[in-house]
Amino acid sequence: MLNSSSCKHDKKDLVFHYYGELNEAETALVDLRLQSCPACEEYYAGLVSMESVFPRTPSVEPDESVMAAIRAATTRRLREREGQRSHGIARRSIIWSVPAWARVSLATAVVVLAFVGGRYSMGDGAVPLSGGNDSMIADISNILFDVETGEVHVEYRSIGTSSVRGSLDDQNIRTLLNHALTNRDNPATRLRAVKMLNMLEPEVVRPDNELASALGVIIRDDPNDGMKLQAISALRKVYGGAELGSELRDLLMQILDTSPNSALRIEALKVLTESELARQDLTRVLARASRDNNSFVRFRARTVMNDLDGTIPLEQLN
Amino acid sequence: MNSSETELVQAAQGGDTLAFEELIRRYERRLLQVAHGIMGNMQDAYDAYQDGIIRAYTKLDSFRFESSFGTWLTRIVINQSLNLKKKLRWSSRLSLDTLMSDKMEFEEISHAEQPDELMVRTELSATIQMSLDNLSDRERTVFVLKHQHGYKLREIAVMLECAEGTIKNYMFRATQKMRKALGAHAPVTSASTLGSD
Repeated sequence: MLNSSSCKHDKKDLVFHYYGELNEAETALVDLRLQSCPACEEYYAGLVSMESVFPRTPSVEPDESVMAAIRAATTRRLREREGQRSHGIARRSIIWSVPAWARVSLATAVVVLAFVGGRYSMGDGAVPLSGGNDSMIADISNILFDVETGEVHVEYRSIGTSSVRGSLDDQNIRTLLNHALTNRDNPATRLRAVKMLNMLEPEVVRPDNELASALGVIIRDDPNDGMKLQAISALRKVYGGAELGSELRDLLMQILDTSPNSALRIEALKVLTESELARQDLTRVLARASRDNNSFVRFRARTVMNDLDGTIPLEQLN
Repeated sequence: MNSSETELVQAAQGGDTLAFEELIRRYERRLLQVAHGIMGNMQDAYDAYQDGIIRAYTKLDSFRFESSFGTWLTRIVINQSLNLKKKLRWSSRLSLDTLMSDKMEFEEISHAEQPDELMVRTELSATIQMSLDNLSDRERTVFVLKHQHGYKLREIAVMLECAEGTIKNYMFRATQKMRKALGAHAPVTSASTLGSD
């Protein structure tokens, strides 16, 4: 059999044949070649088998809840732009009715003003929010975490686009994160905020009821199990083993009791067993977990029981 | 472009935001998928998509019915995606995505799955992602538009404002690289059972 390197045929034709880009006559020629040239046949087989690894359909199919959230966020931004667009049309017609010399002067004035304004607004790029009030925040566009400094960088739009950078102890950062977590219109920003919390070392974060409560809302209400999973995991970082509030504790117990998703149950069990639970609550959690249909949940429950060294009588677990 | 779409575009150009939203609704899913194909993750895809829609809205007056509205809109989202990609690449700041060890996208783990199924799928998805990352931005865009979305190369040429010959070169180079990269993961296909597209 000929190998690919000894065949002198143009492989482009094969690629375009495979993707249906040849006309009838060209297709017929390539078909003939495929019957007579083993190397071309082998090359073509490689194209066809690629499809089984990388299907010829879009790799994501956002579900309707995600699309609805994206639609709502886009609509909101369009509404904000609505006024700007009509003003823009009006402004353009005013400008073109002005004589050329006046336009040049106007442009010069704009450049000077922009330069002067720019000098005063540049600074270090961190714009403080006023007193933790987030009513002026229109949208959070990006959340970044700098692993070297441990600082969080949040970009948001208020009157214009602004950004703030600081540690998680900074009230402004916490306010923005809380806003990102509770903003139902923007699932991507919500996910970014949750992932950012997950990147922190537990000891870096002091327990924060507002953040924990925002995570609780995601765990309870978000339609996406992936988001829920990240939120439960982030809860471990926000609490770091401290005592959970009763609402969050009940919420996690409910997940352990009823969620069909084993990943969620595993994560919920981790948070529950790492936090300071009352003895009867811990007993209930372990009893439930020891009967779980997932082997890892049962394993985790057994490990915790062993760590407790038999301080919970077996009969209480059954 | 059908007459109802033409009317919607004209209404949108006249300032009717609802008409514009109706137009977007017709293409939103595909636009988001195209952005995802270029960006490689859903969060950046969402940003590129939304910025593209806002840009289309502000530039609506420049649409002259020389192509279909869908092609024009897709071109804007593609440009926005390529610009964002460049910006992210050149940004000195660290992106969350590159730092996260678990690269699972929120839409990819939205259903309860067995851990082994999830692992195989995640591994395969990572392989595809790595192969796509080895393409240039242009090669990747052309490949995604053709392979996953089935656009004709001449349509892609209009979207990317390039000559069709250039697009063909991108497509061939991208396919060569992808075929080679994914070859090891593909099952052996009997040559005699091959069919055309």
